[in-house]
Amino acid sequence: MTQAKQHKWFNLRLYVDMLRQLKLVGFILAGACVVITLLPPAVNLIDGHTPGEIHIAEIAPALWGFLYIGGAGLIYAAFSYLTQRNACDFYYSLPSKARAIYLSNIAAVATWIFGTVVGTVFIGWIGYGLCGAWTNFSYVLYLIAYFASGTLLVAACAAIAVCISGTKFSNLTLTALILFLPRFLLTLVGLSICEVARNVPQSALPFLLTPNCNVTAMPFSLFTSGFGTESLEVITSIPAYLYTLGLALVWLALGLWLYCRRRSETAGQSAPSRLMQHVYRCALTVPLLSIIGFWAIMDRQSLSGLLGSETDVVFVVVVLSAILYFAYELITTKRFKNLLSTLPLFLALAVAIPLAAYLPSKGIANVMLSRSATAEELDSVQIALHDGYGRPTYTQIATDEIDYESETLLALLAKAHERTINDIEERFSAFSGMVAYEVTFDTGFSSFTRKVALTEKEHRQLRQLIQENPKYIAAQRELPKPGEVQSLTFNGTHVSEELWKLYLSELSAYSGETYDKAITDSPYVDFLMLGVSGDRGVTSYRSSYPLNSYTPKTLAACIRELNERSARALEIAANAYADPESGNMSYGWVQIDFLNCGNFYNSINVDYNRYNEAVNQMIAYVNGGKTKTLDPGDNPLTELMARAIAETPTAHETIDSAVPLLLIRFSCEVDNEDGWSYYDGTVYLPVTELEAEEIFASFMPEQDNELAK
Amino acid sequence: MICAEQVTMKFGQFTALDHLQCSIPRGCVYGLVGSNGAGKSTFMRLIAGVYRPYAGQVTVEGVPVYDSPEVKEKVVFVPDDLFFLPHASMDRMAELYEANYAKFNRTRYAELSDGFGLDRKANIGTFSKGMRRQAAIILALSTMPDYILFDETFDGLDPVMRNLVRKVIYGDVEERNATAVISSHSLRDLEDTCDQLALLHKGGLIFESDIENLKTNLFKVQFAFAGDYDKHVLDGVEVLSWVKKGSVANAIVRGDREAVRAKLTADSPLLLDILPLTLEEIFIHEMEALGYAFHDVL
Repeated sequence: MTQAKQHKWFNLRLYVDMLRQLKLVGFILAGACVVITLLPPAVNLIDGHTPGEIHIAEIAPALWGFLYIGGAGLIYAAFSYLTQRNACDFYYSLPSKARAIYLSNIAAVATWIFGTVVGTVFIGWIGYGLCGAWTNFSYVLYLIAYFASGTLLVAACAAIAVCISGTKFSNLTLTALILFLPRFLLTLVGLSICEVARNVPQSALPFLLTPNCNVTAMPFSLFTSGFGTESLEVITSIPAYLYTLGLALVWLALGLWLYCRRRSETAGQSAPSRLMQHVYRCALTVPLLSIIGFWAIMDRQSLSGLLGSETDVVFVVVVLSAILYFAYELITTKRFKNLLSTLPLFLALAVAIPLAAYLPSKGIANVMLSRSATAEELDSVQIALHDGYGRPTYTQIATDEIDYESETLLALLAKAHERTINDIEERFSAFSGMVAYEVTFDTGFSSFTRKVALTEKEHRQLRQLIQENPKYIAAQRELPKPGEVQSLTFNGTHVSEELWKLYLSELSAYSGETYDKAITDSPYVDFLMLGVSGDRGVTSYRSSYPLNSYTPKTLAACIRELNERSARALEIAANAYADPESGNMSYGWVQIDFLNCGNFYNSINVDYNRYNEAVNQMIAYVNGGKTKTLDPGDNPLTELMARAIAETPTAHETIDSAVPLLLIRFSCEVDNEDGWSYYDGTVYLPVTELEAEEIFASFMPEQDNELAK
Repeated sequence: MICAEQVTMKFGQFTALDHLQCSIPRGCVYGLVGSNGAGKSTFMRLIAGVYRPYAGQVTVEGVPVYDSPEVKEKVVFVPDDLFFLPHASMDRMAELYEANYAKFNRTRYAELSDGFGLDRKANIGTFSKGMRRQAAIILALSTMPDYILFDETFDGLDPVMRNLVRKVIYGDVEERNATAVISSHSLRDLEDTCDQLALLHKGGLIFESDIENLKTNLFKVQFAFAGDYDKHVLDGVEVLSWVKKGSVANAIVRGDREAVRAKLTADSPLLLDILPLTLEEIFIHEMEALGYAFHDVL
């Protein structure tokens, strides 16, 4: 087989050559990503500061820019010949099929994208690991999937743009249009539907109308603050990756088709024909002119009504569109006489586009608003007990999945929904002074989700019906399985996920009401809590479970892990606090919380700052009120820290939450052989009640102790 | 053989080629001449497979060229507006050519580079215009093509280099039965190089012929007789032009030289010279016979 016969789909040598051609651009982009990513951990390493938990979005921050700049930049570099006549002629004369050239180039771009994303994520993860930050390896996989799919989609949009135009300016303009215009319109359609059909929650919108389905649509989450999900949740959304990657592949395939039809003589021209020039120019006006239509919907007016009430603003929008329209024509064709000939088309657009935005969206919204079902038509309902803000708990997800079939419950909700629709249609308002739930109505043939407004009485009745439901009771007792746990914290500090298995094994000894108490009894709000997060199916959750007298092994294990982790920092801090005046501590604070110590809840803060004359001595603040100056050489803090150091980590196999516990949090800046560095940590110290009282008293001012006696 | 069958090429409203029909045989050096905008470069690009014809087709050995790697492997195109990768040396460009042309010959590439005296490692951007043309020619010839297309390439070369390139092309034509197609708007450039010529004007082929035949069959006869005489002395011979000043007559005739000489000698002329015509003179007369004014076309 000749080499020519092999160059029908892919030219390996051309692919390798294109990798070389992209070297300059690729290394600049990759280098910038790596340097920016390494800066924060490098600063932490130099400072000797341990950052604690790192949010997934912080690991490779430079990739947020690479997603847009790298994707498009690499394509522009690989297909730069399409903007120059002589270069284009050269490539079109090569003995490879057009599709082979296109696919070889795309493969080279994809290689650079993937290499940069993988390299940057790994380097960021390793960098933070080296400075002691807590991260999860799953972050690496999520970030690679997120940024690789997003960057590839941007590249695909740029690939279409270079195939249908022949100048750098038009390439850039079309890339932005292809990438953002559909998502912009879909977002506005979704928003306007929810504005009219106020009983339709944003979570009930079709997948395509939600910006979080598309990785590159992150900027549009600014429009959607009502979605109730954190915009960064999309980073761990597998459906978003799959949709984004699928769309990228579709766009790349379209680019292939366009490239094979592209003529070499398009190079240097903004469009392959006058007709396409019209299309591109008209597309530029769509974002601004469509706003008029959507605005009318959201303002609950007709188009003519909006024109009458907001004439000045509509006028400004139209003028801005006109500026874009004519400026594009002038820049791309450099002919003034074209401006006049394109004016009638603009006037037509100024009418047609707002109508095109208004009519379908209004129609869809009205249809969605009025959709309902009678009690007889319903098979079951699901009720979202989560209010939609923040991540739901595991239990909420489990209960949201319950199919309620009680006829009484179905009738209650069907009637309430009917009333909700009527209220919205008549008064645009249905939820003021009411309790609202998202309910998924299932008729057996189809299902739909709507917000239902309930009166107080209906709400009580509903809660009772729910709480009597055996499935609900069972769901309340469900806990995340080990495979569903991505992150585990104890009082906000990360601990090993293995401790979750220990927690589950302890709970397995209980059942019924005892089990219920074991997972709900919380002797201290916000303290001694296990925080667990992950995914149940495709939904992310975050839950907290108290450690109490039913789970002494887990409590001991958590304390043991944290104490071990803070051991070195504690030793350094203890030495520094023992002799701060020697000059090796510039700043420090310690907070001691007394947990389960009788009937009182006490807290002591000890501050030290060598350079602040007001506090350049150790001062203890007791319960935020009383103060006591501590003697640097001999003070209860030094004794306490020494005791915490001496506490054998394995001394307690179990710790009952009923026993008194000191929670010691500390931080200081110390000058040692590594230079000035920060040391911080958290340790727990089990004590007796008497010891707790003595320790507390040792921090109290003397006159208060005398009074107490 | 390259065949163009009723080829039409348009750029928007402008028709660059209009139902062009011609064929270029293997193993020849074919010249394309025409004024600016005649369609020479467009035709070359159609043969190279850069453009897709608006109508008709261009084939090489019976296979349409456009988007056909098998055909394009045999064809190499050296345009008037050259392309090189940014900051590339000849060696870098050779790698790009090698990646695409299976028959790229490194040995020949080295020999030609040395023969032309070019530094293969130097940045082509530092080359003069003529050196860049030489570099492009070297790279193209190193692909061992069966069909070499030069679009006004010779225009930037000095006479020494032009001779050198001519020699290399002739070598390929002789040894490998290659075909060279050279376009220019100067007849003088093509006269010494090509053995076939075609004249394009406003997108159409006006005239196509073998140069040797042209030069052989068309010649000037200068003669004088004692006594009076007129054009009838050449009865039976195709006379394209007759000018008599005094007793000396100059005639442009088409026909067999020896037959014409014999005819005139029989009448004992005082003076008889048979002189060759320049290509330009041949074209002037041929085009006048076709109804075109030469200087309107070229």
